[in-house]
Amino acid sequence: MSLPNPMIKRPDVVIIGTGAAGGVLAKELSTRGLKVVALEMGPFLTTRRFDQDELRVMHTPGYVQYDQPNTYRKTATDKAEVAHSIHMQSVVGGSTLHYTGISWRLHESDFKERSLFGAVENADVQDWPIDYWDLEHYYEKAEYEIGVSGLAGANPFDPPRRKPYPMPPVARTCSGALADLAAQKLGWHAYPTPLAITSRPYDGRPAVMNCGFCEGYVCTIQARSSILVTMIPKALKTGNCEIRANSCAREITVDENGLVDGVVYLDEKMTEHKIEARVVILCCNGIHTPRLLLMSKSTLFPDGLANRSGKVGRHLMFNYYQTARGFFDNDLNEYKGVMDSRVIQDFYDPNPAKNGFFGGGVLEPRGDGETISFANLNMPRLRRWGSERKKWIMDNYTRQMVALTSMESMSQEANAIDLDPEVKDKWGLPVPRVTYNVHSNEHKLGDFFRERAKELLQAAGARQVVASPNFFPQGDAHLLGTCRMGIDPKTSVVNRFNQSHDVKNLFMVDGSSFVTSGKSNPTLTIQALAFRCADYIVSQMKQLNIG
Amino acid sequence: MDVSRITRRRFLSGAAKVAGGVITLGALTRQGVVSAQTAGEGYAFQHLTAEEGKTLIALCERIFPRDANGPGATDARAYFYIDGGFGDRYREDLETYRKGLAALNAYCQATRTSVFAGLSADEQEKALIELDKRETPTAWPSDVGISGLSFLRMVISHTMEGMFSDPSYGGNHDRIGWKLIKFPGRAPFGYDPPFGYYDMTIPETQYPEFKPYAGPMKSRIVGQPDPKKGKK
Repeated sequence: MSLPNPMIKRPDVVIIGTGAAGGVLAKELSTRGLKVVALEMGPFLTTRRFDQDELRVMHTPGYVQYDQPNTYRKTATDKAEVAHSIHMQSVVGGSTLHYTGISWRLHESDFKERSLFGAVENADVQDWPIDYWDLEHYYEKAEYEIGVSGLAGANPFDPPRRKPYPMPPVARTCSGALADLAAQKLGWHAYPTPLAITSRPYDGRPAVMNCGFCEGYVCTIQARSSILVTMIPKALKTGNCEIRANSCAREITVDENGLVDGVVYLDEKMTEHKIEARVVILCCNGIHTPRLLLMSKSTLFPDGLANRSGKVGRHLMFNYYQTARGFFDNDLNEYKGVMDSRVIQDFYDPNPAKNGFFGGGVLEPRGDGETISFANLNMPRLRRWGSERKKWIMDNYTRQMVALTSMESMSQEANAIDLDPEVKDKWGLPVPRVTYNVHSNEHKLGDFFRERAKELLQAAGARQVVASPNFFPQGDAHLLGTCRMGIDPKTSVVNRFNQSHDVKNLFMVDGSSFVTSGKSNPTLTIQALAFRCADYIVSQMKQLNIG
Repeated sequence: MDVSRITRRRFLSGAAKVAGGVITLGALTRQGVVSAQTAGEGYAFQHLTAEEGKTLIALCERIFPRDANGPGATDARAYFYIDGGFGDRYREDLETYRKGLAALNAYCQATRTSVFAGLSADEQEKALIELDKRETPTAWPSDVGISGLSFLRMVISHTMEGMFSDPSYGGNHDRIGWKLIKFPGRAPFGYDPPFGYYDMTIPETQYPEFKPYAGPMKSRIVGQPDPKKGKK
């Protein structure tokens, strides 16, 4: 089955990136009649290309993952070293091809943390310029259009919602059942994880089959509601959208009025092309959106496009996380089922005055069915080889689970993405340089949540619990904050509709517009922002304000 | 089933065409039982010499040994997986393997009586314990370019891949690795619940019924003032 991919010579809109946001915008704008070209630096693969093969998918660099290097340094005074610390997929559909699919809404408090909890020393925590009700309708739209399963009303901490989820939750796994047990004992509230995975046939796709090759794998039956199987086919069907795969954007060009007029990109043969457009939308993830802006220098924008504030690339946030692994007496068989079937949000909004730290986090008890990774797992006081290791693998592979905790990162201006002055990628372009130092508050959060993870596993009856050590992330899969949304053009990059403050026909829609990181799992919010931005673009074009 | 005989027939036939050496058959069976040590014999290595291959087989076997709990790396043909990998995913590691295997033999000869494959299982294990340390022992040749620990770690991780990867890559022969850990492998048609002991025995939580929100669509939280509005 190959999808039609029409050729669009003169697009109205060029979208760069086809992931969580780019796919939504391509579908929304093309269905409303705009001619769209979506550039994707990775290949356009169909579902049949993917398989249930741990070695190939998990242990082959560059299979679909972004395999180009970045550099990393802790602070601006350090020399950056080459690293591969950015986790994203470069392929049509982006990282939604392999994500866990956890799709909850941000809480009302997430948008107003500064007002609620006050300032944080050595950090730049601000309120969002929008609030929950600006997005509520779009959250709902994303849940129905993308296809999210879940149980409304089950999480007492959930923000208000007007509609239930379009599908009931998927089957509970053993790690989910143990989370239920532990939560009951501890007085916490475990609830079915909202997942972008079908629990019944939905929108022409089959129900999940619980094969267990879930996070990190590409779903072989299209039960995961990835952009590749939800938005892209609908966009292409309109005849108004062309996906140009293997096309790496190099520069966004501006005209003499300071408006963007097109995009220069390299195709797979490294041939340079220029495509003109009335509106350009960057959806390249929190890493590549600022990088592309910084690569687009001109006389009007000597510090990079849309960067009069000097804030492009600043305020980089991840979702800091801690894990503990629990070993049990009976079989969990976590190689079956979705990765994550229960979430606990009892510690979402801890009170800084009471706890001595700012922000909160979530617990995501989950399974881990990988065999090779498990065999190589670093365990205290256990050799990685020999009869003892062999027996340990045999005894424990089916009897273990992970309590992942994920938490808020503090927005710090010094944490940033910029262009590495030396290292180039395979297109000959400067690689992103990550500068990231963990805020002391994150370590406090980490310590708190590591204890909660251990507590959960112990309450669930684990015979052994092993917690991960504290660590300094050099990168992550959640790349946020680097084109911050705000009202003031001096301190932010995009306005409340993801429109550049400096260039009105330029939009940045992805994790980069996040003002605060939330606690984890930004994708549904990115998708909601994209649906909202599409409405805004259409209204602005209608009024001839842009384009 | 005599594993060694199949291996031998399958690979001796192609031996003349390949660059690497063929391991000659030693004492194949003792009282009719194929020992794990000899199961790899007869395999014509595609990229390693016979001597290197012999060392690799012994090393993989010590990493994931056949023991009272079941078959090991030689039975699962982890060496076959790694050797095949040199033509593909491990192309860049071939030189490191060559040097590392030679260094392992040199180390064993300097500290013991024989090359690695010639040592008893106990002595092999002791040698590996010595190398499984941050500080590389002085007897490990200094010109290898890789420490004893890093080399060992690399072979461990490749051996585990040879144990647990899809059998189509040449290792995990007869799904030996997967059977040991009770992993069924690919599941193209998935599973139905219950999945294990705990989802079967722990009752589902009863959640309150969902009541659609019908209040004002306005945040209950007052945010920071808009700086633009402040200026007016």
